[in-house]
Amino acid sequence: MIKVILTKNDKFLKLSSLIDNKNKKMLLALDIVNCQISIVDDLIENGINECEIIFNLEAGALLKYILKFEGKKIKDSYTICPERSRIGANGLKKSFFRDLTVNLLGQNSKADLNIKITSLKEQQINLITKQIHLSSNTSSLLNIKNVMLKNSKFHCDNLIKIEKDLSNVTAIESSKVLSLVSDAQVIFKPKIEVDSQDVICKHEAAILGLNEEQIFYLQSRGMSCKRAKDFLLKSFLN
Amino acid sequence: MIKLKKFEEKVVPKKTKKIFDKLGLPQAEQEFLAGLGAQHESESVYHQMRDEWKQKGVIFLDTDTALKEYPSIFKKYFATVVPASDNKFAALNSALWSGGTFIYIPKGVEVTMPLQTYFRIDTKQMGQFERTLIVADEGSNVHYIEGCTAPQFRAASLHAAVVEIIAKDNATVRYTTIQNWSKNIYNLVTKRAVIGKNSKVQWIDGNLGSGVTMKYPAVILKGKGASCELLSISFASKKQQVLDSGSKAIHLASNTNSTIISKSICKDGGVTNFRTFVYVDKKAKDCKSFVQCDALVLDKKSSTNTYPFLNIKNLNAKINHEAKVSKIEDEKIFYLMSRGLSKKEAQALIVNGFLDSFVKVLPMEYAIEMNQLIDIEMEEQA
Repeated sequence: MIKVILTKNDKFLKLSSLIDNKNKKMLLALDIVNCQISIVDDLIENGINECEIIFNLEAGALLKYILKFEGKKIKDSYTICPERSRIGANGLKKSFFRDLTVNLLGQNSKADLNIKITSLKEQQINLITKQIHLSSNTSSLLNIKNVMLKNSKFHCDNLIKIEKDLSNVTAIESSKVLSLVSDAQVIFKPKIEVDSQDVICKHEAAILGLNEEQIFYLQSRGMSCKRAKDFLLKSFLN
Repeated sequence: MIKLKKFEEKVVPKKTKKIFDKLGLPQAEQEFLAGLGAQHESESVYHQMRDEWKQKGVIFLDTDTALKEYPSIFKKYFATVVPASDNKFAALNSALWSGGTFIYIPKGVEVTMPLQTYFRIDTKQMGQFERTLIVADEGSNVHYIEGCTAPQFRAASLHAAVVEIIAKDNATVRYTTIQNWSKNIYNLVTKRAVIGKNSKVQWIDGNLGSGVTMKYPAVILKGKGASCELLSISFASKKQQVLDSGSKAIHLASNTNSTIISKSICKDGGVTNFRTFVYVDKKAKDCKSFVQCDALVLDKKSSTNTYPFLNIKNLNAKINHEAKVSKIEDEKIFYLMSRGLSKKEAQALIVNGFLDSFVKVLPMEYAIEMNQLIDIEMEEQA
């Protein structure tokens, strides 16, 4: 386990700067104390497919987390987490696993998590997220977008938990999947557990296809069908 | 003119008759129902239907009589949707079942008036294990209403029913149930429908009473073009009252649609849980599913949880899910109070508005009753 405390001086962090190259399986704990920080998750590009990351946000902390994974080949991975065996890799070797926990411990802390994934052929992506609010006046926003290609699998397990006697808490989670094929599989397991009154919690999940009318419109403006599709895919992810 | 046999003509225990009179069931039977059934404890005490529907071949009987009079139809469909091995409460019900309703609608018959059965538990430490079987043959149409109540005792009672619905091709079944059990009833029921080609099932489910409810009506969309709509509300208004409800839609055929809308309210330490399951099979193309779950938390003591589960194996489907948990906004209460309403009235009005999409699909008489029940639950607020 790697434990890091981030303070006022830290503004930007690439997770690859924290890793030891020999370690293929990771557990990262980041304590963010009274600072505004952007964190880019580039662990997959550095050969780490499976990782558990825990963010502890103290009072006034502001976190922006970005995970972008655009259809790169993943090396064969190994099982490290008990959750992983629970959700099952189903024999697909080219998979990656990410377990993100955001503990909003202090007042006025805020987390903004953006995950954008393009799954290649026969890839399995397992994502577990937890937004745990332990203090009042906190907000968390999780945005997941995934483009799925042939035979890929996406397993998404999200939890929003609001502890007792908190006020002015906002927690939003949004998962959108754009599928270009029919033979892919998606499992969504979003959970909301609320023990306080003064909260706004939202969860939304959608599975969409490319809009034929939009493709037709772009073709009428001179684009080829393939280019129009690429264009719409890019606009979905951005 | 076909005359309806009056409720009074049947042999009904005096005490039970008194309760049914108070509830206005004989009047309802004469005015707007095609048929009425009543079950007291574990026995069916009354089942009567208008002659015009009898002549068209509609069967509306308690399950015990149906098994004696129409064994071939009854045995053909019984336990085909919910087998005894399904879960432990289905096993208990299959072992002990008594009473309930059997409905058979022949091909092409459209029953324009609702059929209703009323269930009541009057004894403490009682178990009610009724079995309801509804078979709608090809091209038929039926609306079935179920109501449940019980008085308050110190000892708890159990209601473990099984409801099976079979809607064949092009059939339409509407199943409305409003349970207002007392707060010491364990309401653990298994409800499921299997529907064929182009058929439609609408499941309207109101959960107001009971101490613990676990109810997850399921629809298996087996035929192409089938559609289902599952609307449910839960109102947990007492400490330690747990209303665990939800819906399941299993898409096994192409071009099938499902809509699941759930509204839940909790106050005074009540707990509402919502669980959904949407499954789209690999072979099912162009399916659509919409799941919406809204929860309202009225005070700090209460809690609400949602656990949806979407398993989509064919991504030609269009799936939408949204869940929202919120409180009553202070601005809305302030506005209504500025228009002359008290705080309690304003809250009750907002809650009624929150449940509007559910209430407006109920028949008029039930919609009024539902609004009154919600007002009563709101008035009980400490």
